[in-house]
Amino acid sequence: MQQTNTFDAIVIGSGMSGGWAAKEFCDKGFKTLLLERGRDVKHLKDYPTTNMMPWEFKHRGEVPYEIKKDNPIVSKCYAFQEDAMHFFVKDTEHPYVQDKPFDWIRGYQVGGKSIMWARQTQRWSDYDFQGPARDGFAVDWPIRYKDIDPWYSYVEKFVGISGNKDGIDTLPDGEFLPAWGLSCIEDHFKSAVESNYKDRYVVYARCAHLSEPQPIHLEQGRGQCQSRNLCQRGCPFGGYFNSNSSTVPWALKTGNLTLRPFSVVHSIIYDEAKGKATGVRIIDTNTKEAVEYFAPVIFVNAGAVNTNLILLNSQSGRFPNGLGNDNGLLGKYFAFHNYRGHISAQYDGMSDKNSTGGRPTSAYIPRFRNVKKQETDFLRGYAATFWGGRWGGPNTDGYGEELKAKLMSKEEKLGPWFIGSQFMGETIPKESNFLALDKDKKDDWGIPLIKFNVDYDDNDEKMVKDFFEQYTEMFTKAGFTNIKTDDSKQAPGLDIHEMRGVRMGNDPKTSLLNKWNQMHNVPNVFVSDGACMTSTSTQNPSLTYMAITARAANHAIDLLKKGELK
Amino acid sequence: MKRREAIRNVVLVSAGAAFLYSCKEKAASITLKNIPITGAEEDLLSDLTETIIPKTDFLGAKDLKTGEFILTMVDDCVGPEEQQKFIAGLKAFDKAGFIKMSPEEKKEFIDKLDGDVKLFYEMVKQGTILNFTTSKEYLEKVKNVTTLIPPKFQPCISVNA
Repeated sequence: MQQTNTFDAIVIGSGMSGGWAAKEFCDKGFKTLLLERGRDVKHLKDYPTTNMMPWEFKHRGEVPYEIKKDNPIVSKCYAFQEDAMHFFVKDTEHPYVQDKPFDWIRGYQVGGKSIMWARQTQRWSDYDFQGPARDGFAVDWPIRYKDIDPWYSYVEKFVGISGNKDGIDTLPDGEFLPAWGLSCIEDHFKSAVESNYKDRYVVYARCAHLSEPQPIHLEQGRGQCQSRNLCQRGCPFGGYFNSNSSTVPWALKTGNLTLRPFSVVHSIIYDEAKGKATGVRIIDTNTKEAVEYFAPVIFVNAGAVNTNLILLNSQSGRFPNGLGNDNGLLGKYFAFHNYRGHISAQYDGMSDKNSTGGRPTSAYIPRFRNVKKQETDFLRGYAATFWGGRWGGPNTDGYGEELKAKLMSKEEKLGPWFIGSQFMGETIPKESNFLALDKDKKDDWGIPLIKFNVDYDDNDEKMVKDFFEQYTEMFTKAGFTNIKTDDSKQAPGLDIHEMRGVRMGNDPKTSLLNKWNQMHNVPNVFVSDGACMTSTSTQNPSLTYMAITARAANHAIDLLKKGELK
Repeated sequence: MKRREAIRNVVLVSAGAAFLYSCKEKAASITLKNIPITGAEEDLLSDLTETIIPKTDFLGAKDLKTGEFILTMVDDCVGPEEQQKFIAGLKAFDKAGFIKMSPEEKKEFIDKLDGDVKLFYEMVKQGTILNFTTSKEYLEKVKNVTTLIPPKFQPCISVNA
């Protein structure tokens, strides 16, 4: 029995980072078990809404009232609409405990949230990796940009990133496919910002879309992005990156991958005599049967929160408080991105110009606050997206033939430009923001529920205020009017950038993972999803998770080859 | 198309009019879970949608089964309080004998609407426009949208100011 349950590597989670770990092991010839708690979602076959036209949706995209009422948390997510709601976990299916409100948005299926992600892929720079050391929070990152740079390139080539080389030190360039380009309102804002500020930039937001597929993408069975902007349904062209169209089928094709959906990981098995982890204990969600699998190396990529949960629940005589948790820091210093700030405006200029057609991205303003030195009364800063467009819909006053004639008219009367910017603030990890196991409540598989104690702090409040002030000034300099700021006050979590709890660091006393993402105390267990992050910076994090995972997996492979992981 | 707003803009006829369901009346053509609508009321709703978007040389609201669409949306996508207000609004139109009015009388009636009954009317209008502008016939024949793939991105084109 044990024979068939033994692999060279086990990867927990098939989302953004787990898919990469599985691909790397399989590519290098290692028999790999990829565990996924949810159902399988096969590329193309399991995208039921992907080609549905507007009139084919019974509610034209709207989520029915009963579903919203029963699932208030996931209903807050912008992508939880009739066309993609089947890819989201309903609140009622998998409850969790909120000592403080946390909007935990989940996708339990092969591919995880990589099916519905926002596909923004900006690199970190050394200003980000050096942040904690310079500003005295968290712990120093054990890696620097030079360590991750080649791995960014490695994953970018495979994923396919549309981008411009901008030559900005805060936002390093990568391996780019052609850009769709900036729209005229974005270009206008770029000129206004860059002529008024010496260190502020507006660039084309890099995104994981195949603007010009290369042989490596065609080999994956993926093709040209058609700019449908319906990515949350799964793409019939494989035009954007998700695990389902890319890393998972690639790994399966090697013949080395065993994909096991419906497998909730209960815990990692620690063998005290051997002084290492030997495998994982799962519950089959269909049969409720517990099964054990074994391998010399285990990658935990369950998604930041569930990675913390699995480790906290992996208790043994040696590690009574969770795997590798001698310093008691597991689950602590949990963090996220501050997404509360949004600003909108109108522009009456350029009334003889418009942008048309489809494009899967927008513009991006890299962080400019506190980059080279501390200059405000809050730490760190924020990046933001920027978009603008003109509404050409008909006037719908009146009724009868008068109204119908307006609806039937081929002529569009364009309104002014409408402009919006969404900010993404770095949050400072702190001990009082933590995840823990609930002492009493358990899920359907007998695993304790995870409990959230995560909140904003004064630094976050100041940052929202500064964003509004700075962007109001920048918008004003660009000639925008009717500027409106909106602090959504949304709970942490809705950013869907939950991170940390199992941080990397140089010192086992103050961190849980080393510079290769190995647990200091259990070196054959690697954590390389959002849980591993030492700080959060201001970029959409998936690209960094993928690069860190590819790097960690290849280190594990080196160790396996040298016989250092048995 | 602000679907949410269309739904939210709903409504809101004072819940004054008591609703008495009679099983002897003609039943609605579709099965509804939450709103008890008679066949006669469904006919009235269809008539109102056709008043909003009439048949011309192109399809009208009735051709596009707009009444059925609105009932489905109200039944599935709004809360019980709003559903009650929808029913009350429909009753108010019924009581006024809307379906038997001449076009001129309808115009006068609609132009004079105010308060909650006007809000009910606006909800039906939003639903009628939504169903029309997302219909296969409209998108294909009027807007030339036959695929989910949009035209090529053009960052900056000249248009009439």
